[in-house]
Amino acid sequence: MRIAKWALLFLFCVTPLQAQFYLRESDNLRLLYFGQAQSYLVDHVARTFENALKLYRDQFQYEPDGKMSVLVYDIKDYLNGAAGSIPKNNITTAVAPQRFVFETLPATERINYIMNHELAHIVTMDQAAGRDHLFRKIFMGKVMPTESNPISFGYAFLTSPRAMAPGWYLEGIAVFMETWRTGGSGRLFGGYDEMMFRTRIAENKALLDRLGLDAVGGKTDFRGMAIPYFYGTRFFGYLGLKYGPESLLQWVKRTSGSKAYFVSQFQKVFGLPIDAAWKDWGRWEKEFQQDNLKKIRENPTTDFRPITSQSIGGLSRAYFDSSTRELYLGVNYPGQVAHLAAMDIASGQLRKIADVKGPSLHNVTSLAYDPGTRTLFYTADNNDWRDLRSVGVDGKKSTTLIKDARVGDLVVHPVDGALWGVRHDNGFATLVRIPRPYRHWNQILTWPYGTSGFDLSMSPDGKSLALVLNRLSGQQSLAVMDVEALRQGQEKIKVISDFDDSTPSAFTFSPDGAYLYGSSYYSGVANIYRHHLASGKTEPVTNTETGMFCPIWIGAGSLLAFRYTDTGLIPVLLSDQPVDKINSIRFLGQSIVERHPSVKEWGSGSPTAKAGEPAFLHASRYRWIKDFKFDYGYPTLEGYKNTAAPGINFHLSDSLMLNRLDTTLSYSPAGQLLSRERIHWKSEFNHWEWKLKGAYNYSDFYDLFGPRKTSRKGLYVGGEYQKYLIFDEPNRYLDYTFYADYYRGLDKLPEYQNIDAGFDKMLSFGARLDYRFFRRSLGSVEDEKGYRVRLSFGSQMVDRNLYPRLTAHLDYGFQLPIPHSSVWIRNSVGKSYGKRQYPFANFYFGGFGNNWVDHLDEKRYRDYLRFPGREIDDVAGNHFDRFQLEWSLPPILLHGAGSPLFFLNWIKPSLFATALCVDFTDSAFRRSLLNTGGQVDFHTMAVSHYQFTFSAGLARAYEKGAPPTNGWMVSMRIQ
Amino acid sequence: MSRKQIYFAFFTVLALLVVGCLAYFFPGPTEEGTAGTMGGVQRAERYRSTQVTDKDVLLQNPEVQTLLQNDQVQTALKNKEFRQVLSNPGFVSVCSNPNFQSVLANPNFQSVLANPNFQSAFANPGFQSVLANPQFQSLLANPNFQSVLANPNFQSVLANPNFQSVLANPNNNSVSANPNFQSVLANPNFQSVLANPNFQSVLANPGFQSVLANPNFQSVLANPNFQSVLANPNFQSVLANPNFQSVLANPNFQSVLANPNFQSVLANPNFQSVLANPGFQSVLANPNIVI
Repeated sequence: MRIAKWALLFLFCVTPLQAQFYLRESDNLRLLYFGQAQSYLVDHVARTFENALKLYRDQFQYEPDGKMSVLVYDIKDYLNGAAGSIPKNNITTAVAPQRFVFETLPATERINYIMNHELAHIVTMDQAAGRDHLFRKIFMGKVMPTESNPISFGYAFLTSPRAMAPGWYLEGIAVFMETWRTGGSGRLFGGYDEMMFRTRIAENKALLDRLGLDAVGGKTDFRGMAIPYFYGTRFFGYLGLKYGPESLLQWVKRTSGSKAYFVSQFQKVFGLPIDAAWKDWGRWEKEFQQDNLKKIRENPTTDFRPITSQSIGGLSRAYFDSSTRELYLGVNYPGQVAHLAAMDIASGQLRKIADVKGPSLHNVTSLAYDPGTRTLFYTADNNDWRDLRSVGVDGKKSTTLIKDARVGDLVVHPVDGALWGVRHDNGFATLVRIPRPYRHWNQILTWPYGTSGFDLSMSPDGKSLALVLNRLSGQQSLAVMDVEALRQGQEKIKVISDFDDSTPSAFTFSPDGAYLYGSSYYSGVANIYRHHLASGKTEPVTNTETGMFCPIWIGAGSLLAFRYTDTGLIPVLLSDQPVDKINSIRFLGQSIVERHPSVKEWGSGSPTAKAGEPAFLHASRYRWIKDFKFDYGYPTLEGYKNTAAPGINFHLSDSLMLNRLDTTLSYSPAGQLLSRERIHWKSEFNHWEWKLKGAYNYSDFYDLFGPRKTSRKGLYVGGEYQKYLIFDEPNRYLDYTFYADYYRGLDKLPEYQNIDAGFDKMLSFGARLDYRFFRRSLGSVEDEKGYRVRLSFGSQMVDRNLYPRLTAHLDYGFQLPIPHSSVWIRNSVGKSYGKRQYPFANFYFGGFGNNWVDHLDEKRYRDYLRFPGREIDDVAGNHFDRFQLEWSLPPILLHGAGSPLFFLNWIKPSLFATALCVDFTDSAFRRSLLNTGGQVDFHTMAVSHYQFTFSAGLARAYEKGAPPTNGWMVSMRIQ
Repeated sequence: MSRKQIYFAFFTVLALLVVGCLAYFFPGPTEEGTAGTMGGVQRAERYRSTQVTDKDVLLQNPEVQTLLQNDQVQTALKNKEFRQVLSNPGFVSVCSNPNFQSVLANPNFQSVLANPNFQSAFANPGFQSVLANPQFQSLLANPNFQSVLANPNFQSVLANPNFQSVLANPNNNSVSANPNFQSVLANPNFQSVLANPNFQSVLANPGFQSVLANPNFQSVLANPNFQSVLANPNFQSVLANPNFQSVLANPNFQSVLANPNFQSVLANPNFQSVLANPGFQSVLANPNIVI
């Protein structure tokens, strides 16, 4: 959980929100919240923050360098948070309830949990000692690494070395602290965590080493980017158990005498190299899990028959249609985008029904099924504000029913066909009913803050609604509510089974309504249980080694369930008869607390008891200008034409980083330059939708290399306004941009480095419209399907004459049956309304476009002005049509070629062919060219944080009446 | 004690209904807790020490937030005109008026709000048309008119069952023969009002006469729901409330009444549903909720 760039981007895009931020300040805190909607919660957030900060101050001897910004918002349907320390300490947190699926998150008061988790990040990343303080003084702050100026990477490490640590390290300590701060509710007692490692050992697989974790990690795994969390949690837990919790603090604290690099500090504290300790952990984990497996096997384990050997990755609730013998479910596995599927339970074959946009990591989507109309209801944008959608089981009639409905946990009422679900809004959970035709929801019951219901199930007669109730304290119960009473506005509820601290999960009615079948980690292992409603008896139905989920009763004596494996969930058939006995397993967290009871003293306690009332200033509208401060400055090196220009860069911003000013001043002492060309200045100011830029003799770090040059002589001032019309995360956007740029004293055209300007002043202005909708599957390294449409209209004004130009672009990609392989079609057309003899009235094509050292996209050959095989700007035309066909081959993922300091992740090849025709309406100037080529990209990581992509490309270009020409490219991209 | 004066007070009460803070109130759940038994399963040990309980989480006006989860409330809040009313300076000024808040907190007022007849009358298009009538608005601003409203004798007449019976009589031709009417005429309070110079001034007011002649106004007068409200003792108690009278005289309040957006909101069925919401009424009653 790093800086919440996605949250800031959303806030940036949805204006005029910037006028509605409110601010409350205390001595330690700058609390920002959006509008008055969250005002009910801010006092509680503040108290919890102050309470947590005091604990971290005492325990870590941590002293923040000023007020910390905390942004509270409601732009997600489930709880999420992020923390960043560069250049300012900031925490962002959603207010929505947690997602308890598969018991992957703690069931405890959400704000207390998130504050303690995120503050652990801040402390870990921000705490400084020794030379960190010195460099923070020299650079006047904490330097933010930015790929546009990679010199900043080194400064960033000097000012914030611990912030450059890998994700597993940062998440490991945060989860360790969250567990004890919440009194044991954290993920060291998580059933899913135990299951993941127990399963890996049961399947005789070695744990990922540190290199493999950083190199591949979640790329090939259905658990995606949660993998670093699991591994970090476990490694820290093991260290805490073996060496004591205080040793972890000694490792993580950056106090006087500690080492800047976390690996060096590990050696200092634990007395052995981290990789050796990692191997020790692997051996220990194997023994620990084998002990647990042995306990499980003391009783007969459940027999099962897999329906298919193919893992389906993450899984939604599933529905069985007894008439077709098909199972309908949402799936998400590496290689294919998440989708709804129908599975023939006889053959195990999957038939795709519809893609799921924005799947959630573990449970894909909220799914409901109406057998009467054979319609599936599901949610899209599951990590944002969920849309309600429907589709027929034949894949037809796919419809968005309610945009941003924010409803999930869907069930269909068997009598009237209404949907019931749980809606999350501004931190509250509301039981809602959505009658046909499913265009509006009606409030049935809003639970008090902190209480939420989930995993709904409707009885076959439609009279009872089963659900799991989560209370503010984290207590969770399986309960049944009277549907008719609910419709009358009464909450008649009966708690039918209390699984103590484990989450009852996906309990559904048997077809006769006599039982509820579901799963729970009650014994520490996710087993299936059935509850007999009449007698009130709950019995175990399975004794499994790994985990069993989402049971569906499918016929006399048979259950269909999903068994957890290391590659995902697999559907299996098993008996519905109860088992006699299940032994419990041991949690790592329990071992820690028994051996080191001191962790019991780490609890946060009540925020009201300890923190007292923070002294708050009154609430006021957030004024960014008052919050706009200097962040840092550092020496840098720029390139201008063929000279090197040393200089300085400095940066200012507000707390939310939505207003930023970046400025660089440099000077070229050498080279054949006129005196007025030696001084260089450039600035960029970002203010919400606005971007204002200026430069004098524009310079760029990457012009130190070649062959592409962006530095230009002369004065430039310009600006643009970008507004989103559609901001549909995670991958559908429509925006427009207006821009205007003024140049004076040019020698070359701004866009074309090899074309003389032939004029002194130019005004360029225009607009762009850009719609894109791309998708990617788990384990992908780039977008794999989708489309993009761009239109731009602009004009250049030179000597008071206007030279308009239009371009239009359409990109379309589709997946091949080969995992992570796609075909892309890109077509661009353009026309300039100016006389051909004027250089600015043409388009110029040529080259791969990569610099030897670069920071822009490595696949520059996709850009419409690029034509590998010819030199940059070699082919000119007044109007053009460019068509490209690209085959993006599957990446070769490497489980760590190198060392943790520097390793190769993957290799990605691609092949392309481009046809270009310029001036096709004028036979005197018409030119038709074709190229074929390929590129290979080698993606590496350094210090677990910085990405470098090495690319090599070859292309051959053909033109009638001219000999073929070749082009090649090598480049290193810094990210 | 003309019908117009009664209606004036009625319209004013309705205007007080526009507020920005809502809450939702549900009856408490009836919960039967019976945990099931689970034999044969050894429970995994997990250390637990609850750190934060319900009493540790202190929120500001959570009932308001709960009401905001109501679908009708959300629809009303999305109404552009409603939002404009909320941000109207006159409206904001009225809402912060202590007299206004006192009226809101008045149990009688809340009872009137909850009255189904009141809600029905409120939804009457004729009533809404009268509200929009410029003459009516001018009448509201008339100090003499306000003085009449505040007159205890006038209020006593309003409460007179015979008077109410007269009002309910659709046949104006027989009013003079109506024994109830004759009883009213003989009523000393009624006579006192008739002699009141302010009342006479109102009678002579051209705007008042215009309102009297307004067909929509007459339609409202004839509305049985409206008549039922008039007879409501709570309503009468509100009319007699000095704070209420002070609000009526407030220029900002009058400005709000004249606001076309406000009138549009009053006509909105969703908004009317919100008014009928018990939770909303509960929030109105909460003195701690500052609008």
